Amino acid sequence: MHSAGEFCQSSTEPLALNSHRRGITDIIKHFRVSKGWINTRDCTTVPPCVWGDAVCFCREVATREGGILGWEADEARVTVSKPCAHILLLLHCHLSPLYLECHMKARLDGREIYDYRPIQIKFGISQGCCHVTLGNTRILVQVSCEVTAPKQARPSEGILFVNVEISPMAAPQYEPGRLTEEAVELTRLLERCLKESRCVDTESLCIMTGIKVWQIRCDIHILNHDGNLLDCASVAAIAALAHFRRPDVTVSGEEVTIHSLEDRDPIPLSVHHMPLCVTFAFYKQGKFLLVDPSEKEERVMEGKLVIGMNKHREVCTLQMTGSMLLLKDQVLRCSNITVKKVTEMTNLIQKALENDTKARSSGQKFGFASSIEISRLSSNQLEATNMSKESFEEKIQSIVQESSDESYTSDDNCKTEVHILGRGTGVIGEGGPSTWDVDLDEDEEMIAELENEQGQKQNRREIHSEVMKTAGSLGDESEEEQTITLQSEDFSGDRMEISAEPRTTIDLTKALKTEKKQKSLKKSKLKS
Amino acid sequence: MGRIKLLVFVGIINSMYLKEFDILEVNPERSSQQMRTITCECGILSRCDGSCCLCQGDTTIMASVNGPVEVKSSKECIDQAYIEVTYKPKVGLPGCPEKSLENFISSTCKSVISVNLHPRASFSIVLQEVENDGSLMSCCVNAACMALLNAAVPLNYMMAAVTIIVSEDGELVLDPTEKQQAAAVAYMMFVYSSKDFSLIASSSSGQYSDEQFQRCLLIGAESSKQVFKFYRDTMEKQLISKV
Repeated sequence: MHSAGEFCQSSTEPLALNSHRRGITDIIKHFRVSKGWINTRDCTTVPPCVWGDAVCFCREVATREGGILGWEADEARVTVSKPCAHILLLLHCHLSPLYLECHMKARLDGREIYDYRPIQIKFGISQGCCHVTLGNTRILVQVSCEVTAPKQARPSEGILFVNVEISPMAAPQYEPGRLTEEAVELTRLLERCLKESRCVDTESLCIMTGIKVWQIRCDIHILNHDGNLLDCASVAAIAALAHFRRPDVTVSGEEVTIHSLEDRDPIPLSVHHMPLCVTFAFYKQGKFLLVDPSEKEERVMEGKLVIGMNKHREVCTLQMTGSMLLLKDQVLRCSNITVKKVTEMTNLIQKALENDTKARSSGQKFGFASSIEISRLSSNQLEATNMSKESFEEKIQSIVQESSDESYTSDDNCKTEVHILGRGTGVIGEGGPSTWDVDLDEDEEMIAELENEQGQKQNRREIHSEVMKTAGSLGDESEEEQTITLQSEDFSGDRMEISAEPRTTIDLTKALKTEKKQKSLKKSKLKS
Repeated sequence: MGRIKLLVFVGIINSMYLKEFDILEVNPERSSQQMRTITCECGILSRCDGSCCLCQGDTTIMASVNGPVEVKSSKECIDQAYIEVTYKPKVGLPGCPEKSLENFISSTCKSVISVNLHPRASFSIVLQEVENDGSLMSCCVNAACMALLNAAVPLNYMMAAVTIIVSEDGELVLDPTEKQQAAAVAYMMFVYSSKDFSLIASSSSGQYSDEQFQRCLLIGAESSKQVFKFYRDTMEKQLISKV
């Protein structure tokens, strides 16, 4: 019938099937082939049917022994009957695009229900820089410090400041510089987890009570959003805080000395414990839970529970969101899982910190640049190489010579002269005293002339408006489209002369001079 | 008055210590006219069209490209694509120097990307500082180019940036570290095109002679060839493996 490891669609597939549907089959196929716990031969597929917006994928699920586990078709999910209650197939469909949660002992990426995606912790070269990847989710944290005045309510405590930055790099829907609701929730949860659990000793950050304290700033940059940002960020933040070193300070009376790195070794923050968050996603009114939901799983979850806990089994944060009710033992079960996960992750962080200090002290390579695997196909490296200097040097010499020659010749061409205008004032280059002999009384004349011209212009405007009126009476409604034709008589006020050759240059100085001559002639005539 | 003094004091301490933490030991083996090792990993981010993490020595920049995508109506150009560059510093909020860097890169990218092929669209480039050890600006430009290549955005040509400084004793240092850059007399950054290794953008500060400038321009052009070779090798490695 069907060949093993292949998923075949029935030939009676309805035409209504679209590309979304093909998506499901692909995922199911991928899932089955990767996990291999159901033989395809035992699985009969019925064409998918559509109920309003929901798409139902009806199928019979059979065990290897041949018994049908069962199927459910009138809802958008298929479940299996009691014998294998933990094995479930959950198909959750939304409008469009179709989001699918397919959960049958294993998840879309082949994980078990309680599995975390692989966590990788890297430290940068600067102290307090940590880069954590959880599957495809990537977060960069940088801790920094500065001296500020303390808060009035707590004059003897330092300040811990948490800042979450989300940019279009994380996912295209985010805008730079604007925090979404999701990011605000993330910031608040992290603040609660780090500040209110008092994991960092803030009293040791005090320099002078009421005047100066250290402010520890924790910048969390989301680089890639593939679900469960909180867990990843909490790991990165606490690892960065533990990695950070602040400069040493001595206080003698009123004087505060901040020692440089060469002067005294910087001192680490006192981190009492490491609170870490674990997120659970719930489906079907809290019946099914998943640890570390990926982005796809987060989209279809009904609610989530966040538990912040440290290695000593102390709960630091607990938050439940979404539209669902949880049973008491459900919460207890989650906290038991959290204990295990937190111990694992704390050990991982401590191991990473140890490795980093070991690499630093033994002079090995550390930092991000050295952590890139060159053997990967997507990465590459270019070793530092010297340029071939001989041929190069000649070229440089020739060009430099040329340019210097040019600069000398240009210097020869324009000999700079200094004009002395008067006592204490000199001019270099262009300028000097005005060579246009313009007198003051002539200026007055010019002003009078200008006024005269303006009067003529007004006349012209009146003519314009008359023309407009006539045009308006013709029935043109829009003013912009009105065309005005001016006739030569309209210009009788000021005659315009257009030279036949527009390209010939006009010497303005000459024109002015001749005009001036005419004026002086007129003047003399008037005087006589 | 006392308050103002304190504020100034705080500011100095802040900038001083952040710098101090980033200062690293200079590799004594490297000659002044040698680029640091360039390392790059492409396609490391899953949610964007193209991405890369580029390290020049210890300076590391992560870049992501989305595009061509929908553009805000206020920024829409009817004949070409709009290019939006966001630079994110590791600590604190972006200020004036960061904005000027964004402007520089977006105007450079405008000539590099075939913007006329995508009217009424936008390309968004995000650059995240991961580690700063000098020559940050040129690393940003190179990372942006690598991410554009990874996103398969149609380009007119590739771009490569090179930073050169004039040290106090008049020596030209290629691809300087943070420490060398802080002690420099003059700073020059050139961006070259892969077409004919001609200059497409430059940025400089400080005082330098005409001869020094010409020298830097040539050294830059020569070392940009290495960067282009690196781009080519990286792309080849990926493409050959896919076949």
